[in-house]
Amino acid sequence: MAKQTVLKVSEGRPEKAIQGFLKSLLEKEVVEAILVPKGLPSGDGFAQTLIHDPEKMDGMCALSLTMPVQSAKVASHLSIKNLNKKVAAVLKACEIRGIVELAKFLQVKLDNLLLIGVDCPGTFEVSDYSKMVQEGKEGEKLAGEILTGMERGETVAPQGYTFRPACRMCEYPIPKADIHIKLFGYKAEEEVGLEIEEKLGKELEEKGLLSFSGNEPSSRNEVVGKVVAERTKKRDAVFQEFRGIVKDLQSFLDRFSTCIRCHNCMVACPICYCKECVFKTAVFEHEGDQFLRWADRKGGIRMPTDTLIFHLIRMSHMVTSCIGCGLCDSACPSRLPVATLFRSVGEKIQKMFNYVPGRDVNEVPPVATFKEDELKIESGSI
Amino acid sequence: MAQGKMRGDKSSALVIGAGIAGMQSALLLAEMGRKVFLLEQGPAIGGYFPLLDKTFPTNSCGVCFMSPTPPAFCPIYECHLHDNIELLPYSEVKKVEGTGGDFRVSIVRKPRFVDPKRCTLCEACIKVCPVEVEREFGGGLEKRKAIYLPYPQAIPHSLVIDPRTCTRCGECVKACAPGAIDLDMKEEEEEIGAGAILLGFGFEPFLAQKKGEYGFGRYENVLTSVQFERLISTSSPTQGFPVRVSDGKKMEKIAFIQCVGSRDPSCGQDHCSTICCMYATKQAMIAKERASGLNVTFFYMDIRPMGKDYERYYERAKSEYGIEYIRSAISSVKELQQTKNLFITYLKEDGIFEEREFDSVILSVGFTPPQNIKDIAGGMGLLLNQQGFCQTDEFHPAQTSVEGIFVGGAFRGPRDIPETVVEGSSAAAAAASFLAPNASSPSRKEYPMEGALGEEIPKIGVFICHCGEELKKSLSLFDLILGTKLLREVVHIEEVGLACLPEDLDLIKKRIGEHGLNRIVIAGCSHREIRKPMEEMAKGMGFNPYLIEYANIREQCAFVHRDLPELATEKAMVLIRMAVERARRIQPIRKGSQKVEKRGLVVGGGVAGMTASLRLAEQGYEVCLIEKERELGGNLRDSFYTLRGSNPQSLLQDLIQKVKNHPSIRPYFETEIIGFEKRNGHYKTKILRPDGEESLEHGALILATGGREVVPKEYLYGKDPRVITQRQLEKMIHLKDEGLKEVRSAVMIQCVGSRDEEHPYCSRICCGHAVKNALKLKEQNHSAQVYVLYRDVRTYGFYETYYHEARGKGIVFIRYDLEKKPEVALENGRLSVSVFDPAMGSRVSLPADRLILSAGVEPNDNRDLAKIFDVDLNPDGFFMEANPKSAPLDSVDRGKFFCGLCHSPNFIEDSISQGNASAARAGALLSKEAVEEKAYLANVIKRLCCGCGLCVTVCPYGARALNEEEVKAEVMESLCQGCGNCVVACRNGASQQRNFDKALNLAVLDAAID
Repeated sequence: MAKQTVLKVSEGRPEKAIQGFLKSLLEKEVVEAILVPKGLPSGDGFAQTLIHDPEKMDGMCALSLTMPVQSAKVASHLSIKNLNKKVAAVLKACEIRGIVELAKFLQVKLDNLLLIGVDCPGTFEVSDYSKMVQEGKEGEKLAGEILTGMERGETVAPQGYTFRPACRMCEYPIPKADIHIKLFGYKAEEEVGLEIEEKLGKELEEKGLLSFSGNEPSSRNEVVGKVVAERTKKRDAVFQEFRGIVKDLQSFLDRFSTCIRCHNCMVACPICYCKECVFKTAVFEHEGDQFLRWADRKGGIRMPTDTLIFHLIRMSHMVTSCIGCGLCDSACPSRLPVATLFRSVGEKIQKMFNYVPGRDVNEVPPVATFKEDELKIESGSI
Repeated sequence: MAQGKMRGDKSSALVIGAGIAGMQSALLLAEMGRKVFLLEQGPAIGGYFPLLDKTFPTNSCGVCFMSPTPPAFCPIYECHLHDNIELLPYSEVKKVEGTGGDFRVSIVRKPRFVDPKRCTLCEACIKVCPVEVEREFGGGLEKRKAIYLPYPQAIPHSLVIDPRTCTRCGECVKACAPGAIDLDMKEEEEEIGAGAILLGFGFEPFLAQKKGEYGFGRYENVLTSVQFERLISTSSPTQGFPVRVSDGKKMEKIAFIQCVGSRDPSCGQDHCSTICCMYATKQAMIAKERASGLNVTFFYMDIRPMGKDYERYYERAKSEYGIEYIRSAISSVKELQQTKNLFITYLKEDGIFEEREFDSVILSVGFTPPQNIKDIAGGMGLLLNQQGFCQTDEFHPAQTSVEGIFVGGAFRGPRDIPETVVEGSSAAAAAASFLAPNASSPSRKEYPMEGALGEEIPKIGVFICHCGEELKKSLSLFDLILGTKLLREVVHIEEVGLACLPEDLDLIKKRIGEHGLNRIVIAGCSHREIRKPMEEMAKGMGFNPYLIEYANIREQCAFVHRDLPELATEKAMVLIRMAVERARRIQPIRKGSQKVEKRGLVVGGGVAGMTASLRLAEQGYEVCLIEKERELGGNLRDSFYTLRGSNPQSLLQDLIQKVKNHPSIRPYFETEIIGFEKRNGHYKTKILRPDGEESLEHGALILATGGREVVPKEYLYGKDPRVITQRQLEKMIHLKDEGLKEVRSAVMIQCVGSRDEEHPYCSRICCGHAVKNALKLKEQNHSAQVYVLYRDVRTYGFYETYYHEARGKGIVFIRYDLEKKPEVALENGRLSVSVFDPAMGSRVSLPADRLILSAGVEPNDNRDLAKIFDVDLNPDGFFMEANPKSAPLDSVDRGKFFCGLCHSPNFIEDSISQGNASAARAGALLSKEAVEEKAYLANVIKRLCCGCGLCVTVCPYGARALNEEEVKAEVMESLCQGCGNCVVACRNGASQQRNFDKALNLAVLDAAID
């Protein structure tokens, strides 16, 4: 059983309270370092920062409102080779789900990672956030408004802006972590929730970091339920609209014809773990007259080639594990709905294998196992 | 009559009968380096194998698996291709002279009238042959010509003329372009020398006409199960869709009548044919899959699925497939005149008659000994048993009554494919032990060194073979040549007539030299046909055979699209383009090899383990025999007599003596396995002895870790001393226990710890044990009344006669259902058993001075061992074989074998067969100096590898491992079978396969759609 408590907030600044707690993890040597989003000096964004010195915790922001990179990738780099000391990482729910998936493919080693998850109201595109700040929306004030909304399960973006599309349709705002910082249903000016895995909780208690008392606010379940229901509704509407437009190969080609094969979606994707993508190897270096033969066969071909096969192969690799973080969307210079594509296909495929990516590190991904009666494919659009 | 000089000598073996057992024996002996003659009376080898489209209990084909290295696991092809096997098809034994160790066998080779070396199977002759007769294959449902191919995959792959029906009109001779037909061919006599003879005569299906009351031969819609097997095969004229014979209408409601020519002394067949319950259930399932809505009803006496995983299969047939099983006796089968439907009247268990109408009836015919077997046996001095099958000693199951003549498979009695494969292997082991002193002379062909090829620019030669003008009828060779000219790096194109024959092979050879060709594309027939002569030609001139590509424009174009010549030509062009594209990109392959550690490790010193150790040692290998107890023997120590009347204790002493005295066997007592490492080419096992640890290197591993009697949890066992198990009773009978003399009434309950939720399998031996002990009890105490409460009596094979005897001696058998289990009560110090008797329709109460529980068999706990040795367990805890049909004792990764009770519940006799068989299979591996690697090995491009481990997960052969330090995947070349799973699983092409790399595959695909 995980242990429950709250962090008391003073001066109405919850980030300060969280900061104090994280600082104490460093000071009491629970961890060697903490990976945490920190405000940029310009004030118009955040970056994941690996902090060793507790004094450098100033400016950290557990509730960062942008996600420039998926920290599952950062966690992979951090842990895959010789991470011999404990490191904590402050993460959004989708980042933790990404980590769980990568751990199944041995691309994250969880042994020395302590996962700290934060309830997620959603994030903004990096460019949008920067614009908001330029327009005078001060960072902390914006966060404060959103936190206030989270108490009631209402997260409203400032006038003229929206949360990232992936966030608006994300049904997993609550992270599963070693330490869980809970915001939904809490009055953040006064307190935020804290849920800690049992063994770790005991250790923290013994080290005098905190004591355990109190329960969740009774409204929390309902608040979370409301958020999930809203987002699920949004998700289904998006799927329905998308499936109406992209229903076969031709409509897929039409919709994705502006792909420039920049591979940004692949670089941004936490699930794409290959050291070097097969599309960057010699396999796709065609002979010159191959292009000519293609042009001859069809009368003309669009350059660069291999955009369709790139998306299909990438999809076949990541779609069972797609956790819907939507960073591919944010990374696409052609504004293609790649995230919607992968999530919408992912929903069907994952259902087929009764598999929820990021649910449990002990689950075996469909690609690595075989059940005699697993494939009952229903035909239909993606 | 031509007379040649004798071939073969004391070191070679003659296998008579090329069915499943014979092929297995031949292959193993050949692998051991023996020269093997494989004689078959029919025109093609394979026995009943080719008739089976699907096999139980997996309902998969199971004969051959697709793999880039053809042929994989198909015994027919492997026999055909093996250098040490000489096929003698269409031959008969005339006389056997000499004695064991030195036989001289006169054989007659019957004329085929078609030269297999020249016949290209173009089938032009079949089209012109005017004679049409019933086709033997599949029981005469179809027609064939007087010149015919026995079945599509027949080996030798050549036509044959049936002299009984041929009218010698000569049309076929005129039609044959390669001149392969000679109607004046005469039979030839030959003499074969052999040190050992192995018999795989097999069986014949019972002649259903003998049971006239079922109407076979009179009623059109009454079929035998052989015919039905053919009908539901995907290669049948209806592509496996079951239709009525009389009118071709869809079958809707069919009945299977079981035990036709089995368990029926009235027609001279008192034995149980063992496999009919299973094959009929399989046929019913397949038929239901093919024709939705088909209703299937079985009329049976007892259902006997006692093989490994068979019980579950039967349960699935009932619950998932809705097949109805009615315990009954058939009273009559009548045909209705109008509909030709069949009206069956049957007597149910409760004594009530019922009637039902079916549109077809299938007779599950039993096994009989082969025709004329008495003459053949007489000629060899072979003893047959009462039923006419081969007589063997219970504890020497592979040994016939004649020294040097061995036997396996259905000629020893009805049995299924796994057992037949085991026994074919067992006979090979016995023969190998017998032949051991005679040095074998493995004939290795020497080939010239290959030149350095590969780095240079491809110079491709394309040869388009029209198969003696035959392909020109549907393909435009002109267009093909024109199209091929446009392809890059093709420097030579030539039309040939018969690429498989010496004249054209010589021409191709000449062209290679003239034009400096370094890649060859043969466009013609299937590579199955042409690969062998082509590779021989290539090797003979030092040309790497992996630089030859094949485009099948015959079967896949000219034949299947006969009526669409333009499209057929277009498709042929595509296939040629693909083959040329491959040829541009392939590299020569030189296969590596791994040295073999010539030592076996056997775990478990029971009857199976000791037998396996002895057979391996007799073949000349060192054996380490690991036993966890202080002494050898295992369960055999608690066995005192068998149903057939042999003495297990003398077997025990005999085996222990032989094991202890054999100089090559090192027994280890009170020893545990604590570690295991897989190296390229061999294994290293760490053991813990009472005096310390030791490491043993070995090339083969045999697991014979045994099993045990289930400890009953019900029927007052452990609570009342009068409730005992069969094993305890056996000991009491053996010790002539005084208490047994007082017994007035003894009750036996079957299936205790079998066929229930905890043990959902049949323990196979308990019915036999109950009959055995019941008879013994009666023998010692005439006045005792013995009741056996059973669910199905499963005294299969010849054990049926003992069941018959037991009934004759007044032992009462009462059936019960799982839903109405017997109840045991203790009243006033007396035990009684109450059970619902379906024949009486009421409960009966039986006094029980002794209650004997037929406790099932369960494997010892092998979970740790399975983990250490990296082998799988089935859900019941028995070791899991690679394939239930083709490799019943083998683990998926090479070099690990199972035998005895750790594999499945078995009688002593079967454990001995399995011990022998696993030793033969291990011996075949150890006999080689080195294991040759497969050609199309996988490899890892380390730079690209992320160490995600997917390739390790999906490798079925355990040939993959993750190097923990480097975090990179590795391939163990000696274990890689080239299946390509790892290549598919790998996301970015870090896993590649020789000559099947991703770039090549994509280019070939592109060539296909260009």
